[in-house]
Amino acid sequence: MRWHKRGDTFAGYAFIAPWLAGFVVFTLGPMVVSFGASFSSWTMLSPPTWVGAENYQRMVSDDPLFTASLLNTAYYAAVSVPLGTVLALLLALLLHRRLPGMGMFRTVFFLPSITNLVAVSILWIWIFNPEYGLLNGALRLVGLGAPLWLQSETWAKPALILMSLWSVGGSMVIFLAALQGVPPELYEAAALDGAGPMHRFFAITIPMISPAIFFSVVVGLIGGFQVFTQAFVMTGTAQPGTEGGPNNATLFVVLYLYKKAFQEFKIGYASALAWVVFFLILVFTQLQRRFARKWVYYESGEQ
Amino acid sequence: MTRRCVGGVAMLMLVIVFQACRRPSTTPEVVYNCAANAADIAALEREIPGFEASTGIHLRLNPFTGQDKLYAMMAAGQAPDIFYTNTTMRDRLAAEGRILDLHQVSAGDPFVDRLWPSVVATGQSTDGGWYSVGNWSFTLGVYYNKEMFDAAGVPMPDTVWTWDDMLAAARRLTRDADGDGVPDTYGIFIGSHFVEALELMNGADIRPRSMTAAFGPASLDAFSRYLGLMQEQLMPDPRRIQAMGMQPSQLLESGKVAMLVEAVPHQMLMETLKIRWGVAPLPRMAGRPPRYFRSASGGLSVSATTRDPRAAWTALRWIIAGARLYQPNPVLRDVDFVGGWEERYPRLVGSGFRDVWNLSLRYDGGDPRFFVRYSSWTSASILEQLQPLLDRLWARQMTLAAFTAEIPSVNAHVVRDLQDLVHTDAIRPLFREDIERALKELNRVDHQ
Repeated sequence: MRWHKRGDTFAGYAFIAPWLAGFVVFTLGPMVVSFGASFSSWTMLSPPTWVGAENYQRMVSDDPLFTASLLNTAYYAAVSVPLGTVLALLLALLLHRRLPGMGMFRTVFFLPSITNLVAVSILWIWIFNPEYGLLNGALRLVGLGAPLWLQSETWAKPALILMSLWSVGGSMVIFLAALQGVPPELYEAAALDGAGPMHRFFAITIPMISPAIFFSVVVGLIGGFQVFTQAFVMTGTAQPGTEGGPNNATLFVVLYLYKKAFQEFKIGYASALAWVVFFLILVFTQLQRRFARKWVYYESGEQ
Repeated sequence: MTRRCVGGVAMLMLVIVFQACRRPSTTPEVVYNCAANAADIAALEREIPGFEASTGIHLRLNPFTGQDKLYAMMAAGQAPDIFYTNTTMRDRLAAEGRILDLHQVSAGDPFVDRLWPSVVATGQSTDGGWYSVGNWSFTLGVYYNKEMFDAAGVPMPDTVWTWDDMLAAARRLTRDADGDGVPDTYGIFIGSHFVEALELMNGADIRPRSMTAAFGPASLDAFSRYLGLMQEQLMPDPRRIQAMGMQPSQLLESGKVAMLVEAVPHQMLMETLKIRWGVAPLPRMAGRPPRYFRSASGGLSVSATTRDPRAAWTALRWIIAGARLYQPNPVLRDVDFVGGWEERYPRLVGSGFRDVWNLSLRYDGGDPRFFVRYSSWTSASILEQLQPLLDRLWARQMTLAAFTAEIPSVNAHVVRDLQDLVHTDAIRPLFREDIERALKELNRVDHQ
């Protein structure tokens, strides 16, 4: 019996060995190296020099760009995540109806979320074109001003947030699945008790799909903290090295990290930045988990 | 089944052992990191067999673009033998002994005399070593739409026109057809990355490889003139042009602008412009001697890990002077560069190209661009702080006085970066001394 169990364990490990090897070589290994590198001064070409916690100290006390990038990232995450979640939920509610052609609409709304982000970014550069772009064309039609969007310090971040809303299809599909799992008898019972549509929505729908909302917010916030591609592609097309402009308005933490690592080759400092981002994400996720107990409802009673 | 498997494995082992024991080829191989441009790669590949037949050197292309990839390859000990470096990375690589001193590699080769002396000079670093050969050069000029000049009755620019002449022309060429207060046609457009050329024309004392950011009165006056163009609505907001993503030829051809500052020669303009156009030198600033922009910042370097430096030098020489793709090459003294381009693009004859080019040879003002202007040790930290200030300045969200007031804080960052560098073991002594000297100088200025 015991021998049999051991054999099963061995077989289990053998089956996961390829993944485990990949994880150790391509994820765990680089993480350990980057943690070590974060305590060094390293240009990649010359051997690293131990500097202790200097990179972390400098980040906190003597790097206004780190602070700026952190604030930009916080702004982006704080606005794009709630907006994206609300929009995804509204879309899911619309597409939850049983109407002809609904499958096609669901596919149409989901497609942008699986489109390559670089391609999407290039498309949005054109949408944001101040002279010939669709967006300003529409704004002019209704008599509104036409901002410079990506070239405007004021509008660059809102532009990227607006663009992020285009890809809410992923959350929408999750909400749609969650909505389909809400037992109809709950609505029937509430209707019999005289609850109106709004009351039913807030008293039944929201609590019943709250695990899906929680998941979407957690994943959205992690994604928000890692925003990079769109800022890199959309703000650096004119001249290499100008990514994050204008006037650092779109300098997000991961973009700043990239510039430190692969434009200035300050690998040690960039690694320290990476670990700070990691811990920030960890802290925010834990905070969300803690608050989740107050508003997320699990039918099984588990957290 | 088992027997077959054993046989297969044995065969595989034999092949591996055979490959391992095979004598290395005696033909020297040189790897050239050319630009990842399909047309260029195809053109080079057509010519390489001829080079190989005449020299016995196997030239292999490794096309990619990006400093990060080059550094990764170097860190892995797999750097290409020949690759492009700009002044910023070249000095750093030289300081760490990653690229060869071409004085030693090319010793006794008369080919060096074929290069313009400025090409050799700009390839040198602090220690006097020669680390890169410029493989191309260009100047700047004002391309103009002759049809628009004729229609407005404005005389065409000549070789001695001044800033005031340019302003007068721009004022007459700027049009607001629909009367909405925003011009439909602007007199001129100068990209913000070309402002340094205006500083140069205005007599600014731009010292190549300066360790600090400094903008004297001549630079600030040039900035003011540039901003004045926008203020007077003779030039569109560069942010708008950047956001529109229009190519230079589209700007000129669409009638959006009547004059445009761009590189001379500019292959894309030559090939795509359908209008009648001409090109003039940058307008002179009254009372200033002419100094025309002449790019000289980038070039080809040879990796210190190359197995056969002589073969690498032969290949490099061929790339500059032999490969038809890069001919006629303006870095060579004995080549009729203007004639060659006029032959390739007959439209250039009488366009003003010859005059613009010859003026840049006669009054060579060098290349003041940021990545040449600042030392490789400090350029990253200067530009990191300076670019946002310039963004605000060109957006007219900051006054020139406020911009100037911020410069000391930009330089404060430089000191920190230099202090870090001094402790980097990999930097060779002569380069370290250069950094230490700069630090002393900066501290002295700080104490004053």
